[in-house]
Amino acid sequence: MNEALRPLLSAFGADALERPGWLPWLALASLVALIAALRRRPASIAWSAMPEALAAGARRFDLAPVLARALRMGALLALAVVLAGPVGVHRAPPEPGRGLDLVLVVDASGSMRALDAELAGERRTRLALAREVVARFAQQRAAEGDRVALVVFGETAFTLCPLTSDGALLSATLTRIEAGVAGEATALGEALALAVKRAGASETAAGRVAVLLTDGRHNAGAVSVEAATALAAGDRVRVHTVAIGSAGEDVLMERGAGAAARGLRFERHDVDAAALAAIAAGTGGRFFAARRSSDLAPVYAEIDRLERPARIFPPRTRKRDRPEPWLAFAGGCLLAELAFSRVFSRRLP
Amino acid sequence: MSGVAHPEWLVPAAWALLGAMFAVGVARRRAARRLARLMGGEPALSTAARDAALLLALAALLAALIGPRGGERERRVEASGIDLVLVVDVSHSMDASDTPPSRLARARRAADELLTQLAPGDRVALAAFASRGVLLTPLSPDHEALRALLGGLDTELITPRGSALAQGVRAALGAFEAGSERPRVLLVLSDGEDSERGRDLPLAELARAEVRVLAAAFGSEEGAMLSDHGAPLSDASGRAVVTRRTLEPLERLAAATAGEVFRSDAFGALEMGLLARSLHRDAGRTGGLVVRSERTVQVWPFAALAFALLLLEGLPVPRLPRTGVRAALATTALLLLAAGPLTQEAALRLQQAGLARLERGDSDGAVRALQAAALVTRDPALAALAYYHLGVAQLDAGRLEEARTAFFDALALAPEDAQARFDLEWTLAALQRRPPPAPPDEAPSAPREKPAPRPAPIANREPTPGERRESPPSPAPLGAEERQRLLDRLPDDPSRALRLHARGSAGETAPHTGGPAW
Repeated sequence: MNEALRPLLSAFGADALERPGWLPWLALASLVALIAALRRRPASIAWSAMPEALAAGARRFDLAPVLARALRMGALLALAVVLAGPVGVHRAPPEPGRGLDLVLVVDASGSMRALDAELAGERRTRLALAREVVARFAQQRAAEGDRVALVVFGETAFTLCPLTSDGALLSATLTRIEAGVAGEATALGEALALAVKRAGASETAAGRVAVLLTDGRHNAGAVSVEAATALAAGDRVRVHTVAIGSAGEDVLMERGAGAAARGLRFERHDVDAAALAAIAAGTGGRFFAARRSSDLAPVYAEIDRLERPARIFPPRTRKRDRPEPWLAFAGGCLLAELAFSRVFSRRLP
Repeated sequence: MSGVAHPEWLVPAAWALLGAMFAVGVARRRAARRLARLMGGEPALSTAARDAALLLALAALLAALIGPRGGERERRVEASGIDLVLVVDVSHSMDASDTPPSRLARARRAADELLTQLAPGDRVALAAFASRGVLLTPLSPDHEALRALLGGLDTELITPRGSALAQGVRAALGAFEAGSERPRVLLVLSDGEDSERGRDLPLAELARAEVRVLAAAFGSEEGAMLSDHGAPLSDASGRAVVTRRTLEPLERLAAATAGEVFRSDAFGALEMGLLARSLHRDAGRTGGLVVRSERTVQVWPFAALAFALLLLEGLPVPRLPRTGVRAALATTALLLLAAGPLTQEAALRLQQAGLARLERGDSDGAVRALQAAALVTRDPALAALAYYHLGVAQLDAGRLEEARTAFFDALALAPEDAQARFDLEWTLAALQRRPPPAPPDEAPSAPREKPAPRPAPIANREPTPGERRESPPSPAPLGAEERQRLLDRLPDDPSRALRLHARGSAGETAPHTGGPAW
């Protein structure tokens, strides 16, 4: 009974009935009442002469009473559902802090404007692709009970979003990053150190992981890559590094704002694969190179596969009464019935 | 405000009822006139009872829809930290220096101090409002990061200028997680100046989301002038604008949600201890149980009345129904009456079957039977017993988490059950004793299980030093002092992040889509 009703229930914002056993009996009672009402003789005057009746505006078949009965049945059935107790079952989010703490570090330096990525058949910047892939990854992990933070870097690094389980807000935040938002250069060391700082908020996490995505080489900031790697290793933050972009080729750049806005430009940016590999090796992570844009999503899928701790999430659900849509429907039916049977259709007592 | 679940439907419902009564009344007069013309007399209307029944049914239905509250239900939930959203007023009036250096600086300082006093399990989000409200960060346990972000709050953050408290509260509501049991608190840090004077505050939404609103009011009643590029800010007629602390909107928010308003003293300081205690009012000790009482909405009696009236109105009252119908009615009534005892019986039988299986050592079978027993019965005592036995069966099967859930359920139904409480505590202790699942890497250089070979998704991945695991070059770990120095030296410019967040359009204040967020 409950199974068959589920699509209908969910259309009205409920997931189950608290007293499903009541529904058939209440529906049966409604049906009996309806049949009894139909057997009642209509309160009308029998005309003996049809032509006169037709001339006076009588119809052979009057829709109004049928409609009134149908509306009454609708109201009764909706009320029957209300009495059976429609509830919405929320799956309560897992108590936070027992999954992984993930810090996603995204390069937003000027070179991320390179137009060598492809997204849904369109030529886009590297950053657009990275935003898309990282957002999907973040949202998925947050939904599974992990906490995710975002660090963005260019000439300097900043925390765009501290650790959170709110995947929707996190990915909304991610879409606001633009190339050059933190300066044009690449402060790899600072970014990594900041990621370690952000990852260290909780003692209860099952593990701490940072994923560093970049297309350049360290050329700014006060923290060296080596010092940052040592910091990560000391704090037991595993760092996976992802190099993005075609190395050793000139690529067309998107026109940026300000000084970068003049005409077509080709630039060459070499990603420092050795440094990234060293970071990964020093912290127990892995280094990935996504030369082509189609490689980036598989890289994050692989990271997702690598980072699978055993999770203890007890099932948590919470029920909420959801009678309102049904009550509103019943009320609408009743008002319409009143209108039809008492106002629009003529009647004599 | 707190009397009904949906105060916003009161007026439409009243109009619907009045309209229906008027229409029925007019229809009755018309019918009576028509009959009088036909019969030439003044007959009595025999349908008065039917009309009255219909209108009464409509009234009951509308009452159920409005959701009158009555009675309280106690719910036991696992204690956890609070979910707090700091809503900071960044309107121009917060620049006023009646609590030096400025109201906003005082608010920032208070928020900063508060963040240091929170428990580790508390989660905090940051929202700000001026002409519109913006949720700046999602709920996060990282209080340090939020303290850093506070420094980036200034009155230039949100343009255009304005002071829309309601929008700030709405934006903040977007931070709360659907279905979460954690106590929800909003802390508004403001001078209370609101362009709408607190008229459009989302009080019903706050009540539905079970959010308490605390407010910290900064500024003074005497007020202060505002500076506009060095000169006093003046209005259209050239008079200097004086901004004053206005408690009224904040007090409305607090009163509607069982919150409190804390006023800063003449120097802009707050009673931080009281504030922190009030914030944690609903949070229990971590690991224990907290009793939450919630007011129940009485839909059922009204819906039942409406159903009965609609049913009876359709029945031909003057003449008794024929035998067949009468028999059907009698059967229905009997079956309805019997449904209760029948399920009771089934629950008892299931429970006995479960206990028998448990004794035989078939704990999985016992779990299935006892789950069914708990679900089938409507008698709370019986259900509590079933849940208790279910917990024992789960323990027998070695499933600690499930056992804990079952004991929780048992206690929620029968809070006085000492045996269930003891078993729950034992289970919780056992859960804590059990080592958490080992993180994949205990030490950075520890050898890890090689991932199973699988078709490489990455076509051009090179073998890298990271994968040559034989001799990973372990960097020398930093000393504690060196580490701290490095972390302290890190620049983390808060204004960059905040600018990015604040730039989101007004439509982004509620990023949760698809139904209400709680």
